Amino acid sequence: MGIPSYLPGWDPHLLGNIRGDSMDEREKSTVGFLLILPALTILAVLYIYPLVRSIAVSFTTDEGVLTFANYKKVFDLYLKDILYTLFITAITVGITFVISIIISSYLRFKEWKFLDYMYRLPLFIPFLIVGHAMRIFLAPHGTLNSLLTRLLGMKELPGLSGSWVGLVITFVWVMTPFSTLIILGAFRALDDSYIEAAINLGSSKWKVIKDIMIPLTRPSIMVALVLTFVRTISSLTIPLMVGPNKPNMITVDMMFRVNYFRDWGVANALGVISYLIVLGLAVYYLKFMMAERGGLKA
Amino acid sequence: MVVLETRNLKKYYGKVHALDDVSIDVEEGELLAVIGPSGSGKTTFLRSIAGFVKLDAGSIKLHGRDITNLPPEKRNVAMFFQNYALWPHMNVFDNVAYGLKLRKLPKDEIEERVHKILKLLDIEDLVNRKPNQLSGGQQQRVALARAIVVEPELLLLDEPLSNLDAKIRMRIRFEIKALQKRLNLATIYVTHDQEEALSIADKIAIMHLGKVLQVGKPEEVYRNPANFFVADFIGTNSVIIVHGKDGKVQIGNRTFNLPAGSKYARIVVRSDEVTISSEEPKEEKGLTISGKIMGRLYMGSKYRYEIEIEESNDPLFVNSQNIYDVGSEVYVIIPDGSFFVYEV
Repeated sequence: MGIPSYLPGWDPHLLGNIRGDSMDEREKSTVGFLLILPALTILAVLYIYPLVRSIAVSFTTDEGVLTFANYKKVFDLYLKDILYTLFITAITVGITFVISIIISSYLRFKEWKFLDYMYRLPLFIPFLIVGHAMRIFLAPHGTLNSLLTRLLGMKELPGLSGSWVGLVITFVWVMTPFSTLIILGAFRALDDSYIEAAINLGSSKWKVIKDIMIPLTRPSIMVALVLTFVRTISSLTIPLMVGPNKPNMITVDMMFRVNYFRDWGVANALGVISYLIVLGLAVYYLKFMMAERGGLKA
Repeated sequence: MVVLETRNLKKYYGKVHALDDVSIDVEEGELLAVIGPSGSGKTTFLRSIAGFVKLDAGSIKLHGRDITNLPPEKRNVAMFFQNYALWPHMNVFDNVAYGLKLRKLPKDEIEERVHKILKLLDIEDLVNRKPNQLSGGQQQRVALARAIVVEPELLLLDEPLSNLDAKIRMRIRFEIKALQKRLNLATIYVTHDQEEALSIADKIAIMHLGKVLQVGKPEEVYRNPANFFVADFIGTNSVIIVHGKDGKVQIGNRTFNLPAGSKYARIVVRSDEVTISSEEPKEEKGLTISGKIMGRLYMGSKYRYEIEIEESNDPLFVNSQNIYDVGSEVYVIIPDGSFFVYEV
């Protein structure tokens, strides 16, 4: 029911009327509709309307005539950027996944308060500051290079702040805490006996992680990966501050289209393409969740 | 031949002694039941043998090989978990085969051994099911199959029957015993149910507050309990406290000497082994106490009587198949060996 009858002073019988004991079906559905109306309104105003408008703008000229010109421009000018965005996002998700699994596994088996707090630190640092810090850290004469040259006597490397490698490093640094938070939570919620049963039969820690812990927490891991993907692909500040000038992420292209050309049509077309990428992922995720619940066999 | 040898095991959790100088052996093919109330350390004992509890002191030897500091995955002891711990994402075959796959056996051998064990446990037809499609009893068998298929040197059972309902429990008790004898597998069986332990074990160890109070054959611990705790814990009993006078405790037809400093005696009576009579017995055998019936409960196969006696403030609870009226004066005759006197 979702009614917390255990709350002090709460009498569940108070709800007798709106629970529908004395209402007919039509009244019930009216009340139900009224209850979800605020949420529905917010969804409509803040999500559905902009989405529809964005799609509409991407298919029209400034004069309001239906056109595919915006999409043609997108594929002529930005196809490489779209692929680059997908590439950066995929690599970020992959590395974030691996690091999250390592940290989560370590903390699942061993208590280390320091790491337990430290891995969460990046959660509390704004993107802008991360971007700036990473630009300094990864610059040609930046912190990383000075450390390498001074401590190891290495020849100075070219700075990473202007390359896709630097961008991926920054993304991973930003995304890992959130994904670790979800995966570690799922790992910790696993009953010890599942893990001990495997170890008892002769399994090493790594085998337990691979054979037992990851499969049993797949829904949570999927959530972590999907959120990492969406947060990465929609990030603007970080690719703007770190990474090469060309190619660029879709978000940066959108900003340029609007700021320098007042070209809302192409910006929205790029936006729609981002939607489609995320939509594809969402469909896959939903299918996976349904299969996981046994509703659909893959 | 000794399979498991534990010597002076110690484990402290802060000030609590979970294991306090525990030394127990298990012989080839023997089923050792470890019993005790919750918090007695019996599960800690089991988990320390499996390697999941790091000991503070003591040594564990398995077939003469010191495994005290060996990680759990290298011990070759198989543990059966109270909640079965079957992996929900694997079907019955994969659950049972997991240990064999880890041992990198060839595929056909794995298949053969899994099917053999499933057949032995009569669950061959469940091979493709997922754990959530199994009943409690079926899950229990799968968990057992998973543990024994790897042919461990020692089988550890942690409260294997506690999640089953009473009727099935009775039947599976015999099945486990028969299986264990058939495989001739040294086994430690942890339970809090003394009746279960008595019926299934070759040897019983009674634990309390981290200490082993007594180790012996079921008949031995039942007939010659080492102390009050064991006497009271094993069997269906009634305990009465009788205060002493002039260094003596007098109850019914018997008098017991109290050692110096003792104030009273606790008498443990095996409730099922008494006779109730409305007439005073002629022969002076065992302990005869007179009293008045204060209450009667119908238990199906017997009646449980609450009897008020002059010598103690505690009522005596005894069972009998005969029916007596509440309020009547009766004699309770307790044969020797069915009561135990402990001075305090």
